[in-house]
Amino acid sequence: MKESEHATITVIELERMNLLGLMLRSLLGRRLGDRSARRHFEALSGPVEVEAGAMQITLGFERSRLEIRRGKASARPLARIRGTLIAVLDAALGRGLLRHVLRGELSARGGPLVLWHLLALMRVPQAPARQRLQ
Amino acid sequence: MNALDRLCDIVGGDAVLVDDATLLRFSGDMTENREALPDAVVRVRSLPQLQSVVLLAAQHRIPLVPRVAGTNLGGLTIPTHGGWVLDLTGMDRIVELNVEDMVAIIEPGVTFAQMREALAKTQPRLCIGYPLSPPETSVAANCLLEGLGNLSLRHGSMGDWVNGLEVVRADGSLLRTGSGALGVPVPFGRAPLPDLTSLFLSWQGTTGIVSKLAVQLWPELPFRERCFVLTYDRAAAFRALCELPRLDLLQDMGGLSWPTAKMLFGVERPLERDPAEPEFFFYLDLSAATEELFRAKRLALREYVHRLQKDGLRVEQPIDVPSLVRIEPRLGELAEFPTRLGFFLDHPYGGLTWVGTYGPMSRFVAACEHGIEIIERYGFPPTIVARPMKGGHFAVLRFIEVFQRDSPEHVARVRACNAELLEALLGHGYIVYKTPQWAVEHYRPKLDPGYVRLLKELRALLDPDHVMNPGRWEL
Repeated sequence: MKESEHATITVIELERMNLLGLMLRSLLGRRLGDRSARRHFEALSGPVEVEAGAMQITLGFERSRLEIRRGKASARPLARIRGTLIAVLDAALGRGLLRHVLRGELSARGGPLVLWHLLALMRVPQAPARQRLQ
Repeated sequence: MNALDRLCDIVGGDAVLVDDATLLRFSGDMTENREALPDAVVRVRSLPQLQSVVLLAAQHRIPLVPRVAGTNLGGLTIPTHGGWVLDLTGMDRIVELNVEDMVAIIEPGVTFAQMREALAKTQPRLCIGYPLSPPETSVAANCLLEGLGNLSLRHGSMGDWVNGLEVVRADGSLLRTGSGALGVPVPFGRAPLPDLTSLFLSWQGTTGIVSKLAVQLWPELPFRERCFVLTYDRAAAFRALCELPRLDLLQDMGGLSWPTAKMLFGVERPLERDPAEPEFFFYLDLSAATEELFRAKRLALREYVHRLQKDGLRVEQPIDVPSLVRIEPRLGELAEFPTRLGFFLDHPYGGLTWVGTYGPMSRFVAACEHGIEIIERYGFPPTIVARPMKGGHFAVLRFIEVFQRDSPEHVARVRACNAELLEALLGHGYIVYKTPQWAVEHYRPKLDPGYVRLLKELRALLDPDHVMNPGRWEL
């Protein structure tokens, strides 16, 4: 369980969770240390399906809590993000988004505001400018 | 004056440790091998001290167990017959770093961390292969036990990298092997003299204690990259493991199975693999002297992966390590070597062991499948490290178990599992390296009688009083 001042992340059946769920747990847990990222987190309420390759997980947002489960959502999801593993990783890294979408390697369905919050939340923070130039 | 008093005269009273806490610390390791208390731990700091201590031990028939970090996973530094553990961490000089001839002369206490720091200052840059062992592991110990490092794909096990030794024999006298035996100024190799270096490789300190070792170094090429390739099924993984070495693209290649990835992500007990997730992942090191050659290798690697994909195998194109580390910082443990694999070494269960083997590439798939069946049947996740060695001439196949060290049931189960793994892998032609004594018990009825006879004769010749790390390779 990862905690910030306001939010918690729980992985259901951690010992059986797939790599996609584990990566997102790590990524989102670190994002919660960022105040602006927490605002995106707290704005989401409902299930979001993420599929990378054939790996499927559901992110269950509920106010300040997030549950990560393996598999599809049991209720109609707020949004679905689907792609190849490379495309999903690139999306998290903030690169090649348009290329992957045009090639059919990445798709996102859902309300524009929901997708905006999600993509902002799942984006790995940029390294500081000084490091980027090295 | 008793032996301990004389010992204090040789090394100083502060270097002879007999308190309960120290003796307990040196009585075991992370493995399932039974602990045994030494009578003393002796901190040796110099060659004259080492020689005098060895001579004293021989006179009193006191067993000696050489040790630096004790990170081997075979119980090889457990003092099964009591006696003195020789703590060689204080003999930590890099005696010489010969950049032109690419050889270093080191004492047994020199660690991989030290080597890395020293080599970073060489010009032009040189490197050595680093194992997955912690940075405080002794370079000499890994060479003498014929372990491996991240140059082993090209250059074989680390025993092959030894150009010569200085050894303290059981009577305290000194011996030099390799080209150093002729007193030439540079220990350039073992040939062309009759090779006595082998009398101290994989003998686990039973024939003498190495006080200096000459080890080969290699150029560190300026264009380097590590990447990961994820495979979703064993067929893809096995094919890549067998074919990639022959393409002469890689500096190194290491294969890890799915439980390792999950443990890296903080899952202490990975119980199940989602069929949709990668089963194996490889770290691949590419390097080249020129940017043009580096780009060509990168392209060739991508083309190879594409061929696998076209053949219907489920495999991802290479992913660069810095990107993965941005997504999951813990992957940094595999980004650079030497490294500390905290998810193994600091596991709350406290126990770590393996059956680590070397064997033929042609039997790799069968051996791996058989081992997976066994380890899963005993209730352990199939935690595997695999790599090709020396251009694909042989392979490493290791089955690793994390277990509850304070649970008799876990210990019994891991012992039974390891015994069955050893027999099964041997049936496929795979032999345990850094051989623990329990494995030797299994080998005894199968060993060539002529081999056993000569091994015993040599042991008796080189250690007539049977004080050199007894309890190892006892036949």
